[in-house]
Amino acid sequence: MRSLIRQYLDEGLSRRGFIRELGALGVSLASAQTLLASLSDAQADTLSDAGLDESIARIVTGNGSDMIFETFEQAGVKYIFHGCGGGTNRFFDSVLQRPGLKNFLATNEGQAVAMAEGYHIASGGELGVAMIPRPGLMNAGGNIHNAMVNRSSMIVLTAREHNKFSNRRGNIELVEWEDVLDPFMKWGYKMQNFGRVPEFTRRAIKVARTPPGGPVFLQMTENLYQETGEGTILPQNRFHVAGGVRAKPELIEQAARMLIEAENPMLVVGLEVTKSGGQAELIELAELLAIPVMQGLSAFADFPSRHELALGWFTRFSVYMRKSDLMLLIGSQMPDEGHYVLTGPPAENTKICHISLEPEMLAMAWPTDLSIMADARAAIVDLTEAVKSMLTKRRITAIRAARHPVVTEYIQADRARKLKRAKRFWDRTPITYPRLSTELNDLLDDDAIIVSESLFDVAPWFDVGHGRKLQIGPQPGEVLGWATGVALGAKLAQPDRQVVALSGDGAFMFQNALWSLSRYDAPVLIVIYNNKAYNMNWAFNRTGGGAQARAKKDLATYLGNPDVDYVMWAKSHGIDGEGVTDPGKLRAAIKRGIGVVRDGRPYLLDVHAERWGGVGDYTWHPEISIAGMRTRKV
Amino acid sequence: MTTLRLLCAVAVLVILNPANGAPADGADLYAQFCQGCHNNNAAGLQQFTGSIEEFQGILEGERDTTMPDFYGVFGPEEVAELYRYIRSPEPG
Ligand code: HEC
Ligand SMILES: Cc1ncc(C[n+]2csc(CCOP(=O)(O)OP(=O)(O)O)c2C)c(N)n1
Ligand SMILES: [Mg+2]
Repeated sequence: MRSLIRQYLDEGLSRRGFIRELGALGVSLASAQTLLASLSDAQADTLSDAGLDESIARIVTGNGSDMIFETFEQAGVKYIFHGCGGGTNRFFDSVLQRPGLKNFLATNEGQAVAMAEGYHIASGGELGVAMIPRPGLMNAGGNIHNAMVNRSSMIVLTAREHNKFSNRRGNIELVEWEDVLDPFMKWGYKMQNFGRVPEFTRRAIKVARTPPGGPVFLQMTENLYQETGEGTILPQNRFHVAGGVRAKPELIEQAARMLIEAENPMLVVGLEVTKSGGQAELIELAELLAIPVMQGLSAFADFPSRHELALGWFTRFSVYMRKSDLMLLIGSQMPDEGHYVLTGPPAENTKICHISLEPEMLAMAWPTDLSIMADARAAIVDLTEAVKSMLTKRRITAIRAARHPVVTEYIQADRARKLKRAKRFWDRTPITYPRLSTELNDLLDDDAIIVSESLFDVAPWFDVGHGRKLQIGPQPGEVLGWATGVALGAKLAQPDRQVVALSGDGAFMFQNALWSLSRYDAPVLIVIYNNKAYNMNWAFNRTGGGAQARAKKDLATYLGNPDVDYVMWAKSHGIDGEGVTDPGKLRAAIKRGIGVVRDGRPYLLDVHAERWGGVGDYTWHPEISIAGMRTRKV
Repeated sequence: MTTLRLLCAVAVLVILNPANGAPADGADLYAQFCQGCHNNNAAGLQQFTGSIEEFQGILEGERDTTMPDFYGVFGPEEVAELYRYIRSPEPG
């Protein structure tokens, strides 16, 4: 019924057609006419382009698809990442006629979305556009979810069959798949009315870009390819909604007081810091009072990993989580126990002050002393000013001087201990994750872009954050099959920065971007931490006891049989690479990879890595041969 | 020297924490810090038969495992309580 009403309002359905379809749904003629009368009022309210100021409007002629791409172009879109088929192919007629646009084919729709997200993130906020054929929507779903979790601004453009045939296929065939993905989308619209295509395209762009961003889908029916006419294109900057929402001064003052009065405050920071552009301001706030900072759930290093006040990645199992009397969360979700094994709220008597732009993140499940809805950067700046205005310079210096040595010496010792522990196994074969990560970190450029996925506990070995390397991932959305696609998009956004894609062997097999990396000459260094296992799942399965743990037999996580030759896989795509088993030869291999990338081609390093978590010895897997189940050789 | 300073750092945190007066309870500590990975009633730790020193070493990240590092998180009484608990968890 709702879709019928929308079709009618969008003029995709005549009055008679509307009454007929309602009749088919069992609605009486009288009721249908009453409904029609109320709908005509609604129609009168719809925006008409006619009244708009002509000086900012541009009239263009074309079909519905042209209207979309015309709107995209004037909004600054340059790149389209896409799959193939499902009614989207005619979109390329519009792309062909617009030399300012370039299109990038992915051989799996999930990768088109990953590319659009990588481009969006590495460009510092440009809109990503992924064009997805409807049969590919479910393939794209996982990475749409990842993009939603990262609040990445993106349009997912789809097309569907002509109105004449809509909803005739029964409910299992490609019907309303966008609706299935609705929970992962910030908004979406199905365009049926030619005259309103620019309006809804503009609106989709606006919604995707307005903080907090997110993927927005835009669907066009095929009959709009066939309709041609005039459309009004308006500058997107007239539909810009600025972020930077500031909190009430009295709330900031309250937060500042909590911060001043706490003896052992800690900050937990998340992606809104990076998204709002508040990284430098966060450093200033932390340094002002020597407050230690934990990196909360985020695809970014919102606080520099090597800063002297950086406690590292969030773990509830840290002295600070137990002892702090104030946890100030900025732009981060509360790291609830529901997230993963290392997350969990602070000790019971720790006060909580939580700042986020998203009200549903605030005071969600844990009692919160002060919740503030605000832009992260704005709140950090205001908080810093409030602290400065409430205390004398001398008092600030005294607080800092008392706390600084305690915090920094703890952090230094903690890092030294972790490094010492890692060094004990430095020369071990297979190569350890800390060794591989450290060597990469040393040899890569200071401003390299590091895209990574899965790889538990790898991020702390990289020097990332404001003014350092740019970290993208691991994706807190968790859906695997992301990094190489993201790396292509990131390289496109930042062609003059080194880009590497790091993945576990398990994660890599979910990806499918080698064809595109090769096809578009994307000089990305691909590194596989190949431990021939879904290590994470076995490590954390084994710790819980149970029949598999007791028998030291795991049914689901060993990947070493067959032992995939990733170099050969890369070579079949025209991408060179090499395997590395000897830790002593690792540096030379990385340097060769960097060299090939400098020369303009991707390169793949298949590094034979340890299985971590005390599971190194394990290779048991069920012996199953379907061939052996045959009774004759067919 | 660094170790000494570190001890001071941890000590400062411990002293400042008002909750620290509460007596340690193995079951509570286990539920709060260990159960998520090792299951109810220390089901995942049945095969552990090591000494308390070895246990302390594991908590402080000395062993080659990816168990989170509990360095400085527990005082000696709490370590002893946890050790007692994982060896004879109360049913429930
Ligand atoms: C985030 C998950 C996690 C948490 C939380 C955790 N552990 Fe562990 N634990 C592990 C892993 C992983 C191993 C290594 C398993 C292996 O080596 O097979 C381990 C191993 C151990 C071992 C050695 C087991 C053996 O048989 O040798 C002990 C003892 C232990 N943990 C005790 C604890 C205690 C006590 C706590 C709470 C204070 C705790 N763990 C919390 C993940 C965890
Ligand atoms: C699409 C998808 N399927 C399954 C999972 C569950 N999962 C999380 S981590 C992981 C294993 C990753 O293995 P790998 O990339 O080799 O990294 P390792 O744990 O070995 O370091 C799996 C299967 C997921 N996150 N996403
Ligand atoms: Mg693996």
